[in-house]
Amino acid sequence: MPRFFGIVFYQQGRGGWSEVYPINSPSYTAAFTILDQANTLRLGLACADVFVAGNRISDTDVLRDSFIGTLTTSQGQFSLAPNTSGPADETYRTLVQAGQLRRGTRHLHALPAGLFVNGTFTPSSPWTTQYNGWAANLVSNISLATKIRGAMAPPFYTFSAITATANRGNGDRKVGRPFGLPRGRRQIV
Amino acid sequence: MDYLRTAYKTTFRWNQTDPHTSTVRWYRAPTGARIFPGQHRFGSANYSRQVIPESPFGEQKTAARTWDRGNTTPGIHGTNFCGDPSLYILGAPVLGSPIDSRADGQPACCDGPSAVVVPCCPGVGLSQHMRAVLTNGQGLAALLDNYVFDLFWDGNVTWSSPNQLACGITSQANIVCSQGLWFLTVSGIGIGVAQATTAVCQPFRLFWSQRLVNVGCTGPIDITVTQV
Repeated sequence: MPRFFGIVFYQQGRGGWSEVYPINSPSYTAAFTILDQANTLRLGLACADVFVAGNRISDTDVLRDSFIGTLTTSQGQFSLAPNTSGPADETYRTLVQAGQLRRGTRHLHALPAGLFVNGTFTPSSPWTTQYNGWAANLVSNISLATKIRGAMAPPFYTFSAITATANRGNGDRKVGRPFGLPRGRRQIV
Repeated sequence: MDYLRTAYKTTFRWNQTDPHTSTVRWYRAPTGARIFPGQHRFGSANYSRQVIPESPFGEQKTAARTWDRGNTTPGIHGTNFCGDPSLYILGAPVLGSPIDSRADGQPACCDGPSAVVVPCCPGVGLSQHMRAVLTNGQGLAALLDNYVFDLFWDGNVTWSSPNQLACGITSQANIVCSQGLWFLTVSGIGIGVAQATTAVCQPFRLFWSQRLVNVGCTGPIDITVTQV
């Protein structure tokens, strides 16, 4: 079965990020349906200041291919005053497990500002319910992709079915480049 | 055609057998541009540069990539494309027909009429010309099976058909985007205001299930609206 990477580009204020969903699917359109569902669940966790900037589907074995669709949900749906996202450098970590593979840690950006208590992210029951739905969908429909080193012909990636997810706590800053810093060229004023 | 953070110039190859290449510039799609329908092989190499083999056609990863400001080419609306969609998957023909150009040098086939963007389909350019087809009529409404209304954009949020005879009755159809929802009315044969049963923006399709024709060929009938 063809293997796809579905990418959703999110924006919040002047910043943004992308999330990649490896998808096993018979066709581009079927893969897009799965991506659409994952995006809807993801935006169920996000506040109204988060928007979808774009999306694309690509077959991992076909070079330079692209498929763009229109997602059903394009704005964060988690309603909680002040209905905006909290600190940009706070994330909620999810460890993705596929058999013996325990990697693919996903960092959830844009946690609701209203759920921060004394600077610590404290998930509420409604948010946890939404989170569990999103995590369950990872197990049902999303895979874990591993690059095949040195592959000169397809397949370039191995896809493993996700067997479980684990919550790895909250409030961790993503390792690497801090969020919120401007990227790309800047005009010299 | 694809999503990029930064525009650039690079080299494209158009099919697997012809080694000739062209310099291509990525630039921002203008407001109202439409998304290419379906998959294609001319996306950015940004997403597969780590894969070792060179692509048989499309963007060549070994070619230089020069930063570009990404300004939209003047006069381009991005509402149409040249050739058959399959060429964008299989590659362009080696000996293709010359493309007609406009006075400004841009290919004439790249632009249809300017796309329409309405709140019901944010970010999706829609055609100024829609077609409503009636099918699956029950009772006397079966006489209206395959009846067609061609609807044209009024410049605001409504597509309207001219007056035409349906079941011998002068009728006129409207579809309108109101408060983020699609509605249909057909005067004459008396199909009242109704919200679309299903509405999909990409590919665009509106569907009303078993709407009641109240005058003339009475009975329920399905209505499907697509772009022309």
